[in-house]
Amino acid sequence: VNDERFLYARLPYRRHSGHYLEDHPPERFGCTVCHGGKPGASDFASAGHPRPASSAREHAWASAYGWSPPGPEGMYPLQVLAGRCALCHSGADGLRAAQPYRQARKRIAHLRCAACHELRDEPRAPVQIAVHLDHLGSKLNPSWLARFLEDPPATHASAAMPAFPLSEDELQALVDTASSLTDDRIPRDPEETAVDPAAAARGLEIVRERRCQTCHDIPGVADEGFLKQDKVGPSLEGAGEKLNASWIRAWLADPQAVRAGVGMPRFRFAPGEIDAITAFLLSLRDDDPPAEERAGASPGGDAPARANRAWDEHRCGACHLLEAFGSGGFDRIDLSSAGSAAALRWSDAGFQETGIEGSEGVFHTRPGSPRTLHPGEPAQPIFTFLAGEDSAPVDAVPPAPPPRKGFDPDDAAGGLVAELRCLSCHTIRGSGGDIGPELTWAGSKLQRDWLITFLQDPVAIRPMNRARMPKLGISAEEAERLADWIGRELRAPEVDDSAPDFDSTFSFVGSSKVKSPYGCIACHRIGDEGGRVGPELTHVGSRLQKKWIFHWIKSPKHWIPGVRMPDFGMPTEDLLAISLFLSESR
Amino acid sequence: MNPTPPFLRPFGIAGLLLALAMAGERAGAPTAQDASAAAQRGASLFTGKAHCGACHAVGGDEKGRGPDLEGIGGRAAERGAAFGLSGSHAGTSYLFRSLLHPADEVVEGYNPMPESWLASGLDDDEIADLVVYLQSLGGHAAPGEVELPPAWLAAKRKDYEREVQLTSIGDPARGKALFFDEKGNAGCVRCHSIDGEGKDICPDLTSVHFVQRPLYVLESVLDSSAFIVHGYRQLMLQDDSGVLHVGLKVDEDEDVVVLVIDDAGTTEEVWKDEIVDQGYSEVSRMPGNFADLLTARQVLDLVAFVLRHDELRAPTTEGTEAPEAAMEELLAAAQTPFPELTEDQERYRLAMSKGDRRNGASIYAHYCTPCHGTDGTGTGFNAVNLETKPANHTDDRRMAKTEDRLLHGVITRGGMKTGRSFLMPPWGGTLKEREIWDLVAYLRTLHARIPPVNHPG
Repeated sequence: VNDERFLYARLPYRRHSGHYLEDHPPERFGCTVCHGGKPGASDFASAGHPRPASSAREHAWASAYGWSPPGPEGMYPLQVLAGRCALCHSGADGLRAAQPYRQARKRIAHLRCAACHELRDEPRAPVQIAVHLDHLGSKLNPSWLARFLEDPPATHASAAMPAFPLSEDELQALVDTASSLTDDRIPRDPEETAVDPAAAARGLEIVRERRCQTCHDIPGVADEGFLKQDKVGPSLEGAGEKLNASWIRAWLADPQAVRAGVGMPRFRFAPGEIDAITAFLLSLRDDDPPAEERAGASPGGDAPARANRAWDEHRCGACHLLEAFGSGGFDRIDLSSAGSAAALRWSDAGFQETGIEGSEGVFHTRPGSPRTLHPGEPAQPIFTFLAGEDSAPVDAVPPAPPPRKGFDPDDAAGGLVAELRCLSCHTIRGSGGDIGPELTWAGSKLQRDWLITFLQDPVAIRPMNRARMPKLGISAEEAERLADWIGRELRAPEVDDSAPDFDSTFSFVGSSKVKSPYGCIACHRIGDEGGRVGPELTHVGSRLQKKWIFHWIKSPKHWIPGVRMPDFGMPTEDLLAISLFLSESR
Repeated sequence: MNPTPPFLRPFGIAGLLLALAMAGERAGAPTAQDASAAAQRGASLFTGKAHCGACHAVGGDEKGRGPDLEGIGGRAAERGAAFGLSGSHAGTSYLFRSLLHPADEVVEGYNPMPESWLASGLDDDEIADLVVYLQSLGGHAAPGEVELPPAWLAAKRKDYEREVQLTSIGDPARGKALFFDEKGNAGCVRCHSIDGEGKDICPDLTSVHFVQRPLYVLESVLDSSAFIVHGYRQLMLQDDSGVLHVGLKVDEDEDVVVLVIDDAGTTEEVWKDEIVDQGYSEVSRMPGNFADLLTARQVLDLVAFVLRHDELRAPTTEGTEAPEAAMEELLAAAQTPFPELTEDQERYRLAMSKGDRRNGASIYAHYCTPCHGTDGTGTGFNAVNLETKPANHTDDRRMAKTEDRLLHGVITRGGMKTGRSFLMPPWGGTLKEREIWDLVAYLRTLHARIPPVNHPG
């Protein structure tokens, strides 16, 4: 199976394709690691092809190759094989081949499957991970909530909640009860359908200027970038039907006061701005006529009792916390060895991209169990993940070291970092998000003056990134405080301690080398020529420190693994000349 | 006794003894007039039927593909003497050896001489006349010193006849169409000329059939780098900024060397005082994948045209149709007599077979698409900013011409060092060797009309 000469040999003598066997010689690792006790294939029919998308193709396969839908004993299709990497490589971190698995795992975490299923590495979801229900009545309009509960995946693009088979009675009871859960600080407004268009238009402008689209999908705000990134905030589609006006105002003023621990920063809005944004959000309505008005906030009769029964019946407590109802304990369904079990019925599952129908075989095995996938969402990632849920046969690779100690500054600047939620997007010393650039060594990298200006009025640096730093409205005094703190705390010793000999060269040497031979201008704009893949370099000396430029060009991937800038392997004299030239481009 | 000199090995020890015996017996027998007449016949053969003049000069300034033969008679005696032979027959034997068995010793800096005595159809007497003529160039001309071993010559001629017969199944007319179709898969005319038509970037092929054996022509089509004609080896010049210039040298003066760096004839001047290192490339300028681009029949048609193009000027003769099996036998025969793959070629084929297209696709999406586009057409969002537009990886013709190892080289070392645009950066420091082969494997799937090299389906 690993002899080069058999690469295109007649079946069944053909060599395995890909690089798997180079890193995992079969004489050392055997076959079971990937195959998990499932057989190999000796011809087309027994290979683990996913079910073809069309019945015509299926028919063609059947007549040409004698193919039939694989049964539970069939081999793993290549498409889900990435999951097997997770058996030995804990979390499959850093493995390019296991990329599909990591994506699948992200999806699994988002859908909070672990709340109801026993999974090998996925910790049980914290109970109050979903929306705080205690003040739900202040936030949501009852008519929207009713529509949402009927079918969450179909109603809201970023919903993690599955669709439960609720009866009409249960639905009404839950909506009524939820509507009665209000926050005293937030008055309940009547649902407004008429919004002042001028105010909404002004709100849209502010939303654009503040770059809310970095975290939210917003109808009417184009967001064109090269990269497709998952948004950290929920989609704002249909926000006008969903949200209560007073709640929006309170949230915008200080998100953490409404819900502690949320990732959204506290923007410094002027008072009029909040009203305008609220008007804009209220104007976001679906074109469909709204569902019939339900009587909101009238907890009469036995509604709470009926709601409590529905709560227990559907195990809402697995994800939601509500003091009145509690979170009843129950056994989770064990999927931790699903990868080796026949329960993974590739054929029934119709492991193709047919979404809900295709997934019924697995996801609707019990009466009353919910449907999780969104309409049209492929089930393949789920299977990729499940293929890795197997008892590990070898502990070949030790798990990745735990992330470095969390970052938690405690001085005045630290308070600012917490309030502005910098770590929602930026990583510092191993903790934080990956939307913005890592800041661990920002103090050795950035010029202080530039940083102060940028924090107050951020501009786009990297054309490739879709995410733009939002305009938080940081004051000059706050910006200086942050810049000082960054310059003091966030250092890279290897940059600080080095002493490149810039005196040995001249910047004019570098000014020609950025064109030929190194072709920097293919990706970077300098003056009026050059590409727009990397940051513009025309005034880069004002932004970056001289020594940082030297170390960055020397080996970009040392600082950011996988960065698109190549390691040129430049001789030191060229490095010096180019970084000197760039540092003098101000 | 000394071991048999290598040049006489094909003749065997008996041949050597025979040669010496003949030399002794015939010494003094031929007259001066005989010698002069033989030398004259040899001289006309040299420029005429034997086509020696195609590569060799005798005196003069021009540097040919073969060594200048002025004074060869004297040098031949010296070289023969170096093998332990003495007297006039030493030089003669050396010249016979060079002519009949040219691969044994090659003058440094030159390629082995082709067996043109076969291709040009010299008979025994004509070979002898030619040797006498060469001897007369600065040496002692003495005809009849060495008797040619008839059985060996006959065997050689029989081999040659078989080659001619094997290659006769191609159709020169169809081959001509392939040769002159600039946009076709062969497109020879983009670089070669024949009968005064075409470009002069690569060797002219008008008289190649008088000089080379048919299998050499066939092999050259199938594996271009196996044998690179002298003077057509790509020069690699490294300048003091670390840039490597690769191309065919077409001109030079006191200050600069002029290289042709692509098939369009683009030239590049390299200043001599900036050159810090130089060498010759092992890779031919000629594409090396015609075996993949052309069908067996097309290859044979091309070979037939090159070998028999002068027939086309006369009324054409029908090419004999041969069954496919015969063609396969021919192709197999064409592959066997030539040297093993060089280490470099072996490596690239091996690596190619290791390339993982799927992995290549994900690397391509991350690093290449900003300029080359998500569909590989060279129209990524950044392309508009670039003066030299990025390569279109879906262009069948262009991509099929570009060999795997060249693609690998361009990705690894960047455009600047491989005669392309400096806007293409080098990825060798960023990607692993294996990942670059993955990319090459993926690139092969982008131009779908050409079957991906080493990737069926």
